[in-house]
Formats: sequence, C-alpha cells, structure tokens
Amino acid sequence: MPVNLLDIQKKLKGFSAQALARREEIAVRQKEVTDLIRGYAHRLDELKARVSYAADVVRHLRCALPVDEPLDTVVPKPPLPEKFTVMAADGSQINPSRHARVAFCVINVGLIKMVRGSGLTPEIFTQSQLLDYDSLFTPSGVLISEGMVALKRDLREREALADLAEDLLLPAISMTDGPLELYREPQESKEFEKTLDQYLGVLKRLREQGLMTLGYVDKPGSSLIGQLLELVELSDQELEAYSQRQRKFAGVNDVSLLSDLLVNPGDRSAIFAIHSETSRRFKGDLALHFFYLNVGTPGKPHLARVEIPAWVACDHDLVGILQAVLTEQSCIMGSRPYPYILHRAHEVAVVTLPEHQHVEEMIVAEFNRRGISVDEKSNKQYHKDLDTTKTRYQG
Amino acid sequence: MSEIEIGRLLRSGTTGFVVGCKVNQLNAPGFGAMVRVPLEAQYQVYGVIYDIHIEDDGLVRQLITAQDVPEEVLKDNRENRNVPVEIGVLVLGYEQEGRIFHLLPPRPPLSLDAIFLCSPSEVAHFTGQGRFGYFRHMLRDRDKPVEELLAAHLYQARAAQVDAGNEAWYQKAVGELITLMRDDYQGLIKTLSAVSEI
Repeated sequence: MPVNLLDIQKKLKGFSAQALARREEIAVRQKEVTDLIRGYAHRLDELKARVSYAADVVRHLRCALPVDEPLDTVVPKPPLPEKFTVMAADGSQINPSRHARVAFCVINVGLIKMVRGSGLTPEIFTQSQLLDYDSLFTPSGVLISEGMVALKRDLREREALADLAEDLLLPAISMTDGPLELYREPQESKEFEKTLDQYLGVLKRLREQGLMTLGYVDKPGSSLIGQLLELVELSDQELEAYSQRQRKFAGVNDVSLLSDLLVNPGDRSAIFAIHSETSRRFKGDLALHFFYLNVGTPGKPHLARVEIPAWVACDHDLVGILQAVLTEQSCIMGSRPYPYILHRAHEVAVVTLPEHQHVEEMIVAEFNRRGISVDEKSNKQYHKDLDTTKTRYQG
Repeated sequence: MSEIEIGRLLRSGTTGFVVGCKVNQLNAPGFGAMVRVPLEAQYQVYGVIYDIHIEDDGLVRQLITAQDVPEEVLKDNRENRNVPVEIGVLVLGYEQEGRIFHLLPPRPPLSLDAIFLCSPSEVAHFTGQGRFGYFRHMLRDRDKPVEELLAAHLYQARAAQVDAGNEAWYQKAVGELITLMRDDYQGLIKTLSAVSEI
C-alpha cells in the first residue's frame, strides 16, 4: 500500500510549527554557548579542571577537552604538499540472518591508494572475508548482532590499511568514514573488549609505520564543545545530578557553533581531546583528538569532524597536511564536498544483492556436497525477495 | 591477422551488436572502422562501428561540478571504475571457410566474445569481394548516421584497397552507391556531400 499522503498532509502544519519553535529555543541556547566560547576562549586550565572534576561525578561523561589552543582558534590550511600518498578503506557486510537458508557473514573491505602528484592511476584492492562459522554465534548460541559485525568491519578496515602500509611515499594519510572512536553494544562487552584491543594494536602499527590515520565524520551532529561549556555553567551540586539526557544546551551542535568562525575553505578549529568512557582506552600516542574542518566552498561552508590520534594532533605540521589534503579531496567532489578517496573506497566495498546471492549459493552448494543439511529460507524472506526492484543488498 | 582486441561483446542480434571496452582501450577503434568477431574455426562475423557511446554515472556528474580534477582522479575514473564505453557495430557480413559473404550471419556473436579491429589487409579482403553487397546493410537503417558512416568507411576502405593495389575500387564503390540510392535523391545528395569531403 502506498503512504496515505492525506494523513501526512493534515499533520504538516503542526509539524512545521513544532520545528520552528524548537529552532527558536535552540537559537537562544546557541547564543549562550557562543558567548561562553568567547568568555572561556583562553581559560583552558579552568576548563580542564572542570572536566577533571566532572569526570569523577558524572557517569558516562562525554565532552571535548581543550588541549593548548584557544576555543575560538581558526587555522587556515597550508599549501598542499607536492607529492603525498592518500589511502582510504571502507567496509560493507552481509549480516548473518536467521531468515536465510544458511547462517554466514561476509565482511568486504574496499581500499584505494592514490599517490597525488605522481600522475599514476590509483590502486584498488578488495579484501573479502567469510567469517568462521564458529564466530557467528554468541556463547549463548544466538547469532551475533549487526552491531558486532559492524565492529568487526571497523577493525578489518584499519587492518587492511595497515597491511598496505609498506613502502609508502611520505607523507602518507589513511582515512576511514566515521569516528576513530569505537562505541558499540555494551551487552557484548567481552567481545567488544577483545576487538577493541585488536583495534588499538592496529592503530599502534599504523603509528609505527608513520601512516597518519583519521576518521572523517560528515555532517556531524555531535555537541562535544557545547557539552564542555555546559559543565562550567553548572554548580557542583547541579553537576552531581547532571545527566546527559537532560542537557542545558540540548540541540546546540558544534557545527552550528563554529560555522561563523570557520568561514574559509580549509579553515580548521582548535584541536580538542575527546573525553569519554571508551576514549580512556586510547592512551598516550593513540589518545583520541578531533577538530572541525571547513571542506566547503567560498560562501558555502561545510564542516566535517576529523578524529585523529594524539601523535598526529601534537604535530601541527602533520595536522596542516591533513587539512590541505582533506580540503583538496573534498573539493574534487565539487558542489557536494566529501573526500573523493573515501567515496571510491565505498564504491569498491559495496556488496550488491546479486553478489550476496552468489555467495549464499556457493555456501549452499558446498554444504550439499558435504551432505550438510540446509534450511529453507524463512517465508518472510521468501516474500521479501519477490520484490524484484531491489538491486542492492540491504541486510 | 590483426590482433588488436578492442573489447568484448555485451549484447548482440543478427543485424548488429554492442561491444564494451574500458576507456583506456578506446585509442584503437574509431567511427567507421571495421571489426571482426572470430566465433569458431573458419567462421567470423564482420561489422563496422557506427556509434561510440560513453555512459555517465552519479560520480562523473558530481566530478564535473569541481573546478579542477587531478590527473590521478581522471585515470581512476577511466581505468578503475566500471563504466564501460559502448561501441555499436553494424553487421556487414561474415566469413566461412575462407569465403566472404555480404549477408547477415547465420548466428550472432555471443556475450563476452572478443572483438578485434580489422587490419588494412582484412578490410581490403572483405570489401574487395563480391559487388558491394554489404552496402545494403549500411543503407538499411536510416536512424543511424548513414551518410557519415559511408564516408568514414569509404575513406578507410579506399586506403586499404590502394595499399592492396586496387586503385579502381573507390570509383566502383561510389558508382555502386549512386545506383543503390537512385530512388532516394535526398539521401544520395547528403551521401555524396559527405563523401566529397574525403
């Protein structure tokens, strides 16, 4: 059945009025936070002390932590290096499903390596991994969740980059889409801890290989800076009762705070550390940091959040290279800025519906050869598959 | 025999077929060039290229909005991405057991058959047989740029025939065209106009 557009139409007026009212509320809060940024721009020690205090009394605290640059810092991008290597990895997956004929999981990682300034054709790689059958099930015997598969995929993306990191022309930058920080389902904490340890090991390898790594977050909705300034607005007593779910500056995101500051393409914000429960596991050289970067065009800013490890964040020359490279990569995509190389890694990684079906057929055929019984797909899946308009695998 | 492979067959029919190739293979074939598809021992289909078509996609459309596209990105799109160039080929005849037929072939080529550019001696061999019967196939479909196609073909075939020592071929070919198009005055004028530019 199609959507009943008349029902939708009846709600539109009220819906828009709610949106407008909410925006007006947020604009008032945004003004408050903007004033706080100015007021606390150079009072970094006070802010650090406040985060340190709050960390002891607020559970699950997640906010920005200033490092050594004033809050309203704007750093223009330096010139692009003449020659450099830029790499990206992106993953897609076939999630195990109880509706399928057989349980299986594939993680597909697409990689691309481009040496800018060389005039050479970029190299493309694909790594497809069929997960061990035993690893498809939790200790309680049910199939692993999509969140756990996504975690394994994130790990594979970084491992794939590290595997390609031999004999690179430096400076060399590797990137993935999304944050560097991992946060997934806590109920699978044992497996999560194991994967996180492996992940940290890979980040360490990348550091040893001198391959800068970053997580690129397009259209970020986070309010890490707003959350930092919220802490100084609350009394100690209020802080003890503070919950991230009832925030003073709710709805004020970092992008809206910084859009008026980072006006020129390539401008970056101050570099902040990330304070969160997971980020505490990223220690020393790997401690998580971020900055905002305007990858837009003159008159049309577009801010992205860039997450980097401490060893990159501490070296402003390296950060400058990231700025210049990310700005150029995004500029390649014209009116819709986004790093070209990340988009290409995504294109390479995507698992299509026919590919999904082909892998399933291969597994079923092997099971049949070995006399292993194979289930029917569920009736629900059967009827879904009758929709012939689907061309892309959608889990 | 020429061994310049220009691509593989995407789809086909009795009267024509479409070849897919990568952009970096595109330097060999040109509009009006003759190609052949060996199907089995002693049997191959001949055709002429009447269209070279380059598909776009979302990324290409996005890239044209950028001010500068680095060389590496151009090469990535042309050599790595799965955006084939489609080459339309009109079937002109076939060769079986050493004999040239200017007739439609008994069966068309199959998917992924390799397509080769004809060498000048192969062009001279095919076009020099019979009495220009293959012109019928070129004149049949008025939706194609027939006049331009004939001009491009005659230009290339004449050179091949001259190399083979057959200087008179071109005059005979033009004479045959005039005969075949005598009832289509407009078409004939356009064709002669195009041919006069050779």
